[in-house]
Amino acid sequence: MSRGLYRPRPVEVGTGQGDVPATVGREEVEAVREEWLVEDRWWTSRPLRRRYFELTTTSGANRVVFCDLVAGGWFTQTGA
Amino acid sequence: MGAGYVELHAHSAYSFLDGASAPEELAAAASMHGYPAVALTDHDGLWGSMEFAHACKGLGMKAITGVELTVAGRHLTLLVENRAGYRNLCRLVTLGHEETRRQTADGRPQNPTVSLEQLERHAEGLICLSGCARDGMLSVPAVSGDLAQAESLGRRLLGAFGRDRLRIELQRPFWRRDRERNRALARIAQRLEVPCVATGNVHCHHPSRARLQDAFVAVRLHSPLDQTEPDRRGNASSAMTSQAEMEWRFRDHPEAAAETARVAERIEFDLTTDLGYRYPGAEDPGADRKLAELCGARLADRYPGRSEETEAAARLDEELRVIRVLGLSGFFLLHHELLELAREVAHEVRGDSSVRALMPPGRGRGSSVSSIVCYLTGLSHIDPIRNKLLLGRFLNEEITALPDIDLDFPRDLREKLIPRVHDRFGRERAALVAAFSTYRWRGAIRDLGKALGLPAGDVERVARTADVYGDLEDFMGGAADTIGARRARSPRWQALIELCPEAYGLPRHVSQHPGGMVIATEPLIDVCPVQPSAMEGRNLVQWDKDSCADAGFLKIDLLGLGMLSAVERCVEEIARVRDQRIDLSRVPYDDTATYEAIQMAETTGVFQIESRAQMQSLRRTRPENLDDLTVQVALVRPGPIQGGAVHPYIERRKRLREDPGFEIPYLHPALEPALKDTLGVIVFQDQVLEVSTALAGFSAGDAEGLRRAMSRKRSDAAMAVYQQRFVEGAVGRGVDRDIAERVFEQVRGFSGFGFPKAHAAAFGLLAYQSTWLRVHYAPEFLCAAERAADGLLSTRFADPRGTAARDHGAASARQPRGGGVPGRAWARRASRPRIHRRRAGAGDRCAGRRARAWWALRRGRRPGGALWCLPRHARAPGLGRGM
Repeated sequence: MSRGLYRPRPVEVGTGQGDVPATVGREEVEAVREEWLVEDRWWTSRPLRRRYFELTTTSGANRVVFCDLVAGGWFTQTGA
Repeated sequence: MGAGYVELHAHSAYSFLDGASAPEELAAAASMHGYPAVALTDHDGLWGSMEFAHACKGLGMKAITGVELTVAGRHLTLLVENRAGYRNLCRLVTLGHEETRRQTADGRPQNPTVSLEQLERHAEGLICLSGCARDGMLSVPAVSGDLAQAESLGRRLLGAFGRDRLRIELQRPFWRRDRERNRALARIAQRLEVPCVATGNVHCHHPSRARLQDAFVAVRLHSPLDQTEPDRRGNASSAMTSQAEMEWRFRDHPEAAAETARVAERIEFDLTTDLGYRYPGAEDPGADRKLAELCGARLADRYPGRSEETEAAARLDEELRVIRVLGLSGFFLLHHELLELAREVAHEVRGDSSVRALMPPGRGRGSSVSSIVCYLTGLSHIDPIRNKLLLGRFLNEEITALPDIDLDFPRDLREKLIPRVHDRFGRERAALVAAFSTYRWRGAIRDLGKALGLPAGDVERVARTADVYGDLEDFMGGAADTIGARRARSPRWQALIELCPEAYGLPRHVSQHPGGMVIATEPLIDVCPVQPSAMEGRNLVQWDKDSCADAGFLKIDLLGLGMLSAVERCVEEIARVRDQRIDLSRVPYDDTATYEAIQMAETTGVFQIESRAQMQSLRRTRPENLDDLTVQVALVRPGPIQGGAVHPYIERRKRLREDPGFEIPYLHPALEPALKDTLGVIVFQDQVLEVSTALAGFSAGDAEGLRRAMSRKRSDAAMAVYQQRFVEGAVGRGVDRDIAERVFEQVRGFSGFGFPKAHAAAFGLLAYQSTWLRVHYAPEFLCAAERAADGLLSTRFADPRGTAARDHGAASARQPRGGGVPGRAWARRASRPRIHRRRAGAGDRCAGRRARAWWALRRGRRPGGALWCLPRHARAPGLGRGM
């Protein structure tokens, strides 16, 4: 279902230096390919501040995770 | 300047509706972060560059002048390395704006842009950075994967700028493809064998201002924030940040961060000193002699056998000496030349036979009126000897900027004069001064409310309740009262309430100064970019009056004054109706009936003293001569009001009338010479100079600096410096600290706005002359004044055939009772202009009695105690019997 494609799902992330992900779930992070920041909807009741990472894990998988800087917690977002 | 990061790409609010901080804010933030240098690179313009350069200089930083230029639809960052580069940048920006008044196929104005060929022709002296992450000339093809095109464009830039002056620009806005893009750009740099350079593409001075930057983008795109996500920056990382943070951001490209300092170091150009502007006449070695001859010849005409002749000659010698020392003879000759040009234009506009031909083409205002040189060369109509006007405010040996000479003209004459000045000096050498429309409460509420997607009706209600001149507290309270406290707490309204104060005072778009013109010997486009004005055939320099003054430009204010038009029309009407030729320069200045009208506040429609506040004041101050009227004109202004001068002055005048022996109280005896004429209070700008000289020992240059700090919008810090110097100076001269503080508070209060005495004298004279006409030629004067107020509406729009002009003439001021036009026909004719008078707001001061007042005006009787009334004794021959 395409509707759920971008929906963030909670994920367990262990962080290293500079709060950069070191593990995602049970996998270790091999490389941080990209890091970006989204700050939006500050004029609404649901402001959005997310620190995104595009990662390659030791299994060779590409993962996109973000840290919700408003409510806290890590999420994964497939299709992003 | 050692290694470290220097910001080479920053936008201020002069990147209209893109940057969200004033140049001073950016400079202060850069200084706080410890930058040794910082660049300002607004989009396609240098509007804020002078302001920025002076702000940086004051903070001990090197200001780098630059522009983010649109070249063939893509962006390049250009930095000025030397004088030749500055000249080329000005020419490029001017070229970019050439077509901006033409519309695109979909009816929108064209954005500024230059071609790559134009850039190649003007590359000397400029350092080129390859452009921003989103729209940069190389990053756009690099991001889309077309590295061949990126490299080909890069080679073209390399051909124009060489390896010395081309850098590949890397940015880190924290977008998703940053690393990929920067890797691609770094590869291109390697192939071209040029260094990369890091930039921050700063859009605001602090992260908290990023929300306003978002909102500005929405305003610019005429869309709500919800629909502009792809065009916004996406996060707050485009705020000015520390060197350490920037070095961390570019940890993948440390050489690019280090290159910033190397680029900054090689830049020599300082906008505050290297402009190279010379005003026309400065190069003429015979200018001193010509001016002396011109003035000498007129001195004999103006003061033949008069007791003031010796004093006038001495004053002229002294002024000519100061002018020679300052090298300003050419400046005065140029103004004289302009006045002669105005005389030619006046001759064409007025015609030979018109009674208006008796009148000078224009008249001076402002401090220049205090100069005997201006009086003798025709730039001023006020005799400075007879009116005891001091020269210091206008001209002294310590001035750092050229003095202003402001000239008032009737509107019809000014309309023709401005294009003639363009023609005389050439469009490359004469241009109008720019002005910037800045956000006030109402504009901010409307624009930002729309961007936030708030209901249009509610936004308008809040905007209408906002006090135009109110402070932040008024605005916050007013908004909450209008929409209700609960709604005011909702995120969108809260955002509006928070953003409006941030937007307040920031420039929104370029407009045109009412009449300021800059004239240069060399082409103006070598010293400041020029862009077309909204009015066809006119050009604007990209600097406002303050920046032009800082640049030392010769600025001439050709101002349109409605009352001059009214007075001329009145004189013409008197000649037509009564066959009398009035020469206003010869009317008696001690006319009892005129002063009685002034003292009774029967001044509706006359110049300057017709406001409600003036009328209330007139009955209490009861002016008896031109000197009193000069004070009166200057008294009801924000400066004296905020400085607490009005009530003491009125009270002391009353006491003096009752007891001529009344002694004026002064805060300190040293103030008496300066404040004697205004009964111990500060009414004129000149008195600020005199008070600071008398009490704190300021030099003329110091005092002028204080006056400039007072009159500029961006001067809080400067005022604090002057306060300290004033108080310490006064204490050093034995003045009690408390007294010194109190006097300075009066000076600070005055800083709202006040007239120089010379300006007040010029306006006071026009106030007297217009009252004299009102008293002795009431029907003609009121019709002329009425038409000056709403003439454009009624004659041009309502009545293209021009019959309304007759309707507004004296002959139709009242319904003729003795025949002629039948009653109904007259009523039809009269009703048409009346409607438009209402639209124009004419008669507004009659507050609710407007219709009755207009009717009374026509019938010539007093409208039930209202101030709108014709003098009872006024009778105009041939006007029917209604008076």
